[in-house]
Amino acid sequence: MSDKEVILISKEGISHPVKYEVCTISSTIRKILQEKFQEGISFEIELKQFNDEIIKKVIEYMEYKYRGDEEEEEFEVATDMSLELLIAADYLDI
Amino acid sequence: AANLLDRKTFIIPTLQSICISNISENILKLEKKNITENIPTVIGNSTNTDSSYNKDSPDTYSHLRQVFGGISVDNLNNLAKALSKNRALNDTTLQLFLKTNLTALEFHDCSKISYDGYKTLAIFSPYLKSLTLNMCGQLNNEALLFIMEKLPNLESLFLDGPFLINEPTWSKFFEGMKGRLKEFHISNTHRFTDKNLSSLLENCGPELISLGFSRMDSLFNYSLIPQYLTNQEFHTISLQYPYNEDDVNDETVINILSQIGKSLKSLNLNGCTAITDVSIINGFSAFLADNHILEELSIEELDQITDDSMVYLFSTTSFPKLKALSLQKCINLGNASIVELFLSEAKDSILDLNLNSLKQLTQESFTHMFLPELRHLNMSFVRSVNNDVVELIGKQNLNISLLEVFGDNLVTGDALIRDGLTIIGRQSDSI
Repeated sequence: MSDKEVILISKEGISHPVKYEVCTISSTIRKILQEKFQEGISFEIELKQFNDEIIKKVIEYMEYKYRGDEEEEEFEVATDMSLELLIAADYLDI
Repeated sequence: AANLLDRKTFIIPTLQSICISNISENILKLEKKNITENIPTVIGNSTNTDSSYNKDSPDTYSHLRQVFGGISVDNLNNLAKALSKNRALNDTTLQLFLKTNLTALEFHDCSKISYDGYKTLAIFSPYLKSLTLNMCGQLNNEALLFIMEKLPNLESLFLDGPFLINEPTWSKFFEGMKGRLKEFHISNTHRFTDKNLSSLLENCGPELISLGFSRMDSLFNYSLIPQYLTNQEFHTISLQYPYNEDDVNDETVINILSQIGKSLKSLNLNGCTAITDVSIINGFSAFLADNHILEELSIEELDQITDDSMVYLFSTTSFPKLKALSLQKCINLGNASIVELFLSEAKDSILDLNLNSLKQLTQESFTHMFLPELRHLNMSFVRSVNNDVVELIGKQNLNISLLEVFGDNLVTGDALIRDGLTIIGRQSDSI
């Protein structure tokens, strides 16, 4: 499965490709992919409730967590997106 | 847990906790800045004529949300859930919910909100119709009366753990809510007494459409309830875990059902252990026969009810809309009741079935189980359940997605589980 990519689609309809292992950090996405849904076949997940900026940040975090590097600096979140990001993080369980 | 086993101590914080600490820090920073610089923080059309900075100025709160990127009203309840889940709801983060057009608000963990917090909530969220405060240990007399006075539209109140509120305040509250209160649920307090119950019923009884009590240590006179419930639209009653077993007895249950049985959508009598077959036959069967709209039935831990009455109930009364049924720990129920249920009309509508601890059930009863809508089944501690039963249930119930098998030691890692079905509670699955 290592080469597989999953596409996350934002509110604006823009596709964001992410490595399969990276996005399964989110248990919500993992379940969506592993259940018998269309998404598990097409590997495209629509996250239309979140805009581009939020999706990008979410992916950035999942990649940060995937690297799991102890030396790396703390993950920064801009103040003006923290509310929406919190709701996205809650939804995706990350 | 996996990290501990790997002897790793380095844990990356979740994105949720990063966001929450960011939000809390910035609210505090903002408060400090405003106080030291004395700058009014005004955004949009100000209705506040006082130009000097006022900490309680409503505009501060909408400004606060703007700083964090803004949030839609629809999402505020999601935010409340996220904060509660992370145990991060306090007077500081509470400010995010003030000065909104919200009509319903649910806080699942209020343990860190002070009485002052509740007061500001009441002042700055005047449109609230429905308010749910769980674990609201710091809610005091003054704050409850504030809620009564400052929320003119309030009609539904759900409280868990309001143990600081005393007898006279409850009575005052119900007098103040006369003609307004439609739904009232309360649990886990020892200061709510029989006197308060009669005050509630006398003042608000005719309007009530939903009523619930759970683990109320100073409430005994449940028999008072039926005569006051006169609203034709009454739909939810929940009487759980009375302090003395006999407080909720067959007579009370029958009287209540005779009064409101026709319109009920949800009936919950968990832990009312004095209830016997008499209630099932003379109450449930008699008064729910014409109901046809009941959606939820929960009668957990009723150890005196037997197959005789339940078979009679399921064979004589149809529950065409029943979605959730819990018979957890009704330990005298066996195959006959359950098979009768599987053959009744309710089988086509049940989504959620709880058979936890029905230890008399054998494998045979599950061969009759064909529930097309079933999503979630709890059959923990039904010791006869084995791998074959699990496989059979998956095959016969096409929509089931979650199966709980805690304590069923015959279910092993070898069980054949179909795709889309999650099993939890197997010993072999431990980390």
